[in-house]
Amino acid sequence: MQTILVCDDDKQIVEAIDIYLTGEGFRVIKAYDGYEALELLETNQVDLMVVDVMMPGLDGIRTTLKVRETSSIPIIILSAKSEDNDKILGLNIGADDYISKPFNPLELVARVKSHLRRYTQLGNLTTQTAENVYKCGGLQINDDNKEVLVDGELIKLTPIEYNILLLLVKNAGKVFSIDEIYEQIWNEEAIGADNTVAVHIRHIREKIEINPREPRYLKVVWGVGYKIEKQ
Amino acid sequence: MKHEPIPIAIRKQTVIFLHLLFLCLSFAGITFIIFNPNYGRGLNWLQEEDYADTHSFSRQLEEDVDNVFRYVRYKDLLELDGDVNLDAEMFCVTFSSGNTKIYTLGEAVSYARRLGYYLNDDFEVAGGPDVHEWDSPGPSMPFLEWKTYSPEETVNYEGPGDGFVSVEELSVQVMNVLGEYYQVRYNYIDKPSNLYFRVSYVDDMGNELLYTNAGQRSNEELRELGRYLYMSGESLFVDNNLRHVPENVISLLSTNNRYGNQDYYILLAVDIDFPNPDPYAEAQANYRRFRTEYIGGAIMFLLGAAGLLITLIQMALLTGHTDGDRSRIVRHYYDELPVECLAAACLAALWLARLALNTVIPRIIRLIISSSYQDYARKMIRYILIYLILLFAFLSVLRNYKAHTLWKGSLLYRGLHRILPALSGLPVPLRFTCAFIGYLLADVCLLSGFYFLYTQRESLGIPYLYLIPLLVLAAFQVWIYLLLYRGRVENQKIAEGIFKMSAGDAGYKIDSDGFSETAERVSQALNSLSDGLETALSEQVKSERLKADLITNVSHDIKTPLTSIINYVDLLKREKISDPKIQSYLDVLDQKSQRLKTLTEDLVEASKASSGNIKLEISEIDLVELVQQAGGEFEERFAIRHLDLVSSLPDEDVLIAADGRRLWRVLENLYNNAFKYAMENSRIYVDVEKKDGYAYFTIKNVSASPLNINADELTERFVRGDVARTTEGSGLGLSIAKSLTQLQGGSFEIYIDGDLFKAQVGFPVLN
Repeated sequence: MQTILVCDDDKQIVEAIDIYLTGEGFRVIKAYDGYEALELLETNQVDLMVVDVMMPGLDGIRTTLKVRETSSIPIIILSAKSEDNDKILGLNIGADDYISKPFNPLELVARVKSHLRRYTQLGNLTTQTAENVYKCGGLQINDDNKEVLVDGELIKLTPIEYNILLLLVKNAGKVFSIDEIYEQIWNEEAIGADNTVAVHIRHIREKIEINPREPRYLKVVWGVGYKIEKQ
Repeated sequence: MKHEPIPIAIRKQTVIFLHLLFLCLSFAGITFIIFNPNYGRGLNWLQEEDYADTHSFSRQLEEDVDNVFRYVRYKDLLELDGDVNLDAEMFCVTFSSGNTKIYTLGEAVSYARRLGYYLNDDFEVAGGPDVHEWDSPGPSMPFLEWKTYSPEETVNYEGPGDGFVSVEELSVQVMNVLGEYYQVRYNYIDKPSNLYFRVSYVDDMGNELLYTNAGQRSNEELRELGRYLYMSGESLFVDNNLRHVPENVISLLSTNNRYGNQDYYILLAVDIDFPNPDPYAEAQANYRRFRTEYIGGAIMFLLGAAGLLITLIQMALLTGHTDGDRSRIVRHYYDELPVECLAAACLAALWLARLALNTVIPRIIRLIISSSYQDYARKMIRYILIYLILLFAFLSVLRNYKAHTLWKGSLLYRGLHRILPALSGLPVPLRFTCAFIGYLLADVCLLSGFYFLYTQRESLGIPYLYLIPLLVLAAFQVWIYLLLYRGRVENQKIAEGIFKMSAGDAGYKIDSDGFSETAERVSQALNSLSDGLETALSEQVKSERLKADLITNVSHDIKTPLTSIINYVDLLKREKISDPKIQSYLDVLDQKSQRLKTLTEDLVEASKASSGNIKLEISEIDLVELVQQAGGEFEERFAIRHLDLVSSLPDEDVLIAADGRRLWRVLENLYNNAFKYAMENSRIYVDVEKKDGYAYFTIKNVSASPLNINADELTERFVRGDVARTTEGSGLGLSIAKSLTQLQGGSFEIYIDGDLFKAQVGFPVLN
């Protein structure tokens, strides 16, 4: 059974998260400020930590920094601040994910599961580097058997979606415009292409991303095109 | 090591001393140049380094040619086998007694000697008796039959007294001839000379008659000595290497040919090493000396002039200053005089100097200086006096200028200061008119002053005095021009400032450097106005920012309890409550809590967007691509409400400069707006077009509920088409869209026509 440390100064929120995670079969230990969380980390075997930013005493950012000195467990930051700067700061100091309040409980659970899978199965995944396997963070495409795995979970895609994703993953970091994608996948000149490509992209995002509005892998570069974030 | 600065008094004295020294030096230089015999020939002659190329060499040569032919003439007459033939017949006279007597050279000379004539060192006839034979004219005079030394004289007698001449006179003539002969012989033959000549004639018998001082040297050898001239009777061509051919040589050569043939020639040669002491050697030495003197004089003059200039500048810099405080200007008692008085004193001094130059000074000069230099000395003294007087005046003016008393101490200023305060009480139009009339009066006065002085210039005696009012007039016009110019520039600058400020540049400051008093006051008033405006604007920006911060902070505080509400509502829903009443209550809670969530998020965004508190990442994006992407995001959502998305996009890229994510937020809000408020089963039109350098995105839909609202009000915060606010949404979407668009430099317009809603976003197209 995996253990998750939840740390927030708001007891009701901790309680609610406890209910959700326990319901999913995790063991939850609770802390109400940064110092308490650090103490519990020392005495318990913890697999993942969810921590609030704004707490009295040691805040979430400094707690994360402290944890990172000794441990590499996944850390998800929870915060009422939703501005870009706050997210970038959180991710830069070593957090793995950032969820802004108020959050969707299901999303929180999905992210917890995803991070745990990636963290624990990382060893397995790295050994399987075959020739036609493309990897990008938790996203893995095996071109031999046309399989797409996200954090180890098999995803079902239509052939066109698969081809688009493969194109983007093969050229991770490169931005493709709608016309370029159309020409590569359909092998036709894109004259007056309708919303087809954009709709497909949206479907792919819905399938491989936990929150399609804030994608981790398939990013929209607005007004330019789409790309897979190089990781 | 630090040097003690030299006291200014000593520096001043040194500079003045040096100035006078340089003055003397330059005048000495001028003197050298002016009294050089070559003065007035420009500077070209200085390039003629060789005496043999000069005019004076040519003159000397011409003189020598004369002498050579004199020798040619007299040699056959006076010489026999290289010696003077005393038996040579000179002239023949018939006395009144009827006796005819032929005088030989010896007889003529001894006759003259008896009378006391002799030849001096220069072979010129000197001496003579106290009473001459020709003092008692009359029939006692003998009649001249012929004379051999100038036979042409006796050919034609015209008047009755002609032909009667005293033996004394004739003997003196013979002595003269002998003297001339001796002179040539002595200078060119007996004494070594630098000039060599060879004249050859062939007589009727075919014998060659040779006149030369060149001895056995061949013609070729003579030519190689340096300068030569060769001319023969057969040729018109003068073979020479001279710069100037002596003009007399050709005529003398042919007139001295007593034989009717062309077999004659002349060769002149000058040894340009000038080894023998003769007029050439002397002239060359002189030439070199004059040349050196001329160049030396020129250098002295240039040095003196440069020194004068430098010391003058030094004087100008030093004058009025003392040791210690640089800003304190010491004025002499005569500096206290108004500048007009100084000018008058200066004129008086000039007049006095002129008087002295006409009376006293010439006498003193005559006492000291020889006559050939007197005129020059007078001129020099005149120039020096004028220079010193002007220098004195210049330094006095300069001191006053430095002490800022030049204008304030002047009579004109003092006079104006009496009049102007009286005028300042007058109303502006009257004052302006007075000023203009004053200007005209000043012009008229100066012009008439000029006219008076010009017409009286002869009687006044001071040259160019009439130029002074003319110069003052010109300076006055320039001053008036500068005043008007400054006024115009000031007006322009102030106007520019006002335009800038009214155009929104609140921080603009008028640069009042060099403004007049009035303009300075105006521009300062405007500047303080702009200060106030600037503060007000920055205060406003600050309060906007504070408001945005407040909203952000409050929303953070709302979010935490909201999280619990959402989570526990969700947990409650999972409890599988069968009572439909409770179920419906829970739905309401769920919906409202979600709405509260979007409301807080939109609130933060709206306040940030409207206060401009957002960091934009502007880059080049394709509007068509963005609209296609947006279409992809919304197509399926629209399908839920049976809305048909009809887009019309250009085939080519439409590039604009914008922040892609923020512009997506704008489109997202507009699409969301259409999704929420469009009538079900209707169409939503989206198009992109380029017009007049702008790219426009337009979205049109038909509203489900009547839009009885003003288009402008729709973008106000918390305003929605349905006044009852029954639908979901924060009412901030359009406001956010508008603020974000404007932040990125775009235009955002909403049009309402009945139930037709149309929003248009425009951005300048990048080429």
